[in-house]
Amino acid sequence: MIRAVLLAAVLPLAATAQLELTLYDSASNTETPIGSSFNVGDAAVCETLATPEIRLRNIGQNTIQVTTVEPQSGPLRVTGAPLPPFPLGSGALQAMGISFTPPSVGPYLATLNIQGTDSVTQTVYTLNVALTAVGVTAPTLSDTTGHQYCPGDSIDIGRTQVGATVQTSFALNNATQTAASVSVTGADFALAGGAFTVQPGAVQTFQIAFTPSVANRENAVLNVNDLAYNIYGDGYVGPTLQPSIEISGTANTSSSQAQVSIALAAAASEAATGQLTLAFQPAGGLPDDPTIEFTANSSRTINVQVSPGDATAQFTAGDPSACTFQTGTTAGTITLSLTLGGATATASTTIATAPVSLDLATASAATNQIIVALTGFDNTHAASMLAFTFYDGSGKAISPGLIQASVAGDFTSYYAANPSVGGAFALQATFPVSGDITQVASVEVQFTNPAGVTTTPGIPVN
Amino acid sequence: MAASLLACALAMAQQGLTPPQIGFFRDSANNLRRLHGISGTFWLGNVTASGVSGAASSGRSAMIVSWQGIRVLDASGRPVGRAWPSAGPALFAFTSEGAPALAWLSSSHELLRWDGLQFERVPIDADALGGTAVSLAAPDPGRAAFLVQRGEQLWRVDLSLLDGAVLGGENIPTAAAPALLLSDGAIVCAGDERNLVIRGPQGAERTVPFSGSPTELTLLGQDWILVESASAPVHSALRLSAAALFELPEAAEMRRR
Repeated sequence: MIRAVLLAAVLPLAATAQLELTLYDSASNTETPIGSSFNVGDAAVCETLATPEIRLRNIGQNTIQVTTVEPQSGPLRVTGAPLPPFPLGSGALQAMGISFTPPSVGPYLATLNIQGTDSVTQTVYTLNVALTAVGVTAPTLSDTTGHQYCPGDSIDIGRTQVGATVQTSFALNNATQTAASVSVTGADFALAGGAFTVQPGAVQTFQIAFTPSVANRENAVLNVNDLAYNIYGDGYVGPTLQPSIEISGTANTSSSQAQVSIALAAAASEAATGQLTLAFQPAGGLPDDPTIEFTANSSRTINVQVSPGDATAQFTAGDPSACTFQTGTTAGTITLSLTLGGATATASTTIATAPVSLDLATASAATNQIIVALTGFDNTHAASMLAFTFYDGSGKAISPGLIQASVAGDFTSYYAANPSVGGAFALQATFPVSGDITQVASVEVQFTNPAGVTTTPGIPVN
Repeated sequence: MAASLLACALAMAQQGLTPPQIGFFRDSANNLRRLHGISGTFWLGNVTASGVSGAASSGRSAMIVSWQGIRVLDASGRPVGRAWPSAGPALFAFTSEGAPALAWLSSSHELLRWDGLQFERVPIDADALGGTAVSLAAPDPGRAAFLVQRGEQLWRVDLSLLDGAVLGGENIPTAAAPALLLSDGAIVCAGDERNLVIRGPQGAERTVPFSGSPTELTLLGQDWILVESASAPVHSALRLSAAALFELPEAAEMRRR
């Protein structure tokens, strides 16, 4: 009885006859039994060597429940087999393999251990195979912290704004006897200085530059001979500039000069360039007014720029901080449009129609005539009537009193012939005088356009 | 006999309505340009002359210095009379009506008078100025009035155009170059920081805020003074009667009106 118990305890350890391991050669479609040891082979450090197919076959009469297949981890490990337990029917086989990934140079040992239990007799069968392998030298890649990477690893190059560049440093130690060629494959990544070769026994540091063109993760491959390292970087769009157009001065009346500046909601984090454009939509069928423009460059477009840290955009012509524009002499709407580093902003001002405005009014006496000179603008371009009243020194109107002239046709012709003037004009009217011209002391002028009547104070006759 | 006006005769067919013209000025490229406009609205005319090293304009006429010498131009920019063969720096003065009157050649210390067709030299003793002339005016047909820099002070010195005799001199307190003496005795000059000062004939002063650094003041047109600055705005126009300052459009290359 005692003997029988002992046999039962020993048999499972020794019973192997129902399980068989072979190495399959797909080329010849043959199998070679694997004995108590198996040399997996040599692999470069970090490289993975995979054996040909290994077959586990149940050569017994009963199904065997496979309970152990090891090792499942480590440099030498089983691959391709299902995780135990799994049944293996009579005559059935389970394909698997052994992979070897040496983290460093040197010999490696492991035991392939397979156990199964006969589903009928409950006999335990065990297979033990001594696995041997050797890790050999290969170029090793490490970062500035000393961390070493293996081929196939994913390496983070960095994160930066779209259009900017981030560089990450590495060292390649080529302890092999052959030169190592280093290159990068993939858009937006580059080796600083381009592809290079590390001679046997040499160590070389280098940088990988990442300049994202899109706000996303981008991938590439670092090639060291036939070793491939996956590298990636993240591009992002920097904080968006939030510019606003600020207008100071009088911008809603004709013939004014207003200043425009561009404020940023937050200091710029990066340099940016752009343009401020001025557009004019004349009121009710009026023509464009080319005098509406920036004074710094006599243009309707001016370049702007910001540098990191700027709280306002800078103009590239004239005063960097503020740009003056003329509101012209035509009614309508002026719109300022800004594009700056992908951001936009607009502001507009509307100039309503207004009565004729006189900038200069003089009257002078010449031989037998009075010459009245008026300079100003009519932002409706539609002046219709002019009226003059001359006074003597006592303030009494001189005969014939009110002198009226229809000027609609004259102004229409004038503006049509002078499109560059906007609504500005210089007018000279002459009045023949009979009698003592020295009695003519002043003249009052009334100017009528669709927006109203302008009456000057008495203009002294000199 | 009481006056009466016979009719309103707007000479529209001739020059009744025209684009308003202020005068002429030298742009940053040393081109003489006609300046059109009114207060607040200006536009540049085409280049009238190039290679201009100095210019002044009354609106009715202009005097310029270029490689062709000193010339007088009419209101349309056409040369009038004969040029004076000098290309050095010069000061110019117009009559109160805007007619060309005097020119001062700063290098040779010569005073020229315009007789309507040509310049003629006026005999003066330049040493009588006692300093560096910074502005010249023609207060009346027989007199030349200079603003003279004497050390840190500005003086007005009047000379007779008949014999060059000194007719008077006075210190102009608080005034500093650049300064411009007008035919009526008013003076425009740089004031304290960020100011221009208009000092009337009787000494009353008005200040005009100015953000630039004035380097030169010259006549631009009737009631207009050109203010040149080392910093933006480079060219500004001062309306004297309104004591108002405006930026002038800067010439853009290839721009044609």
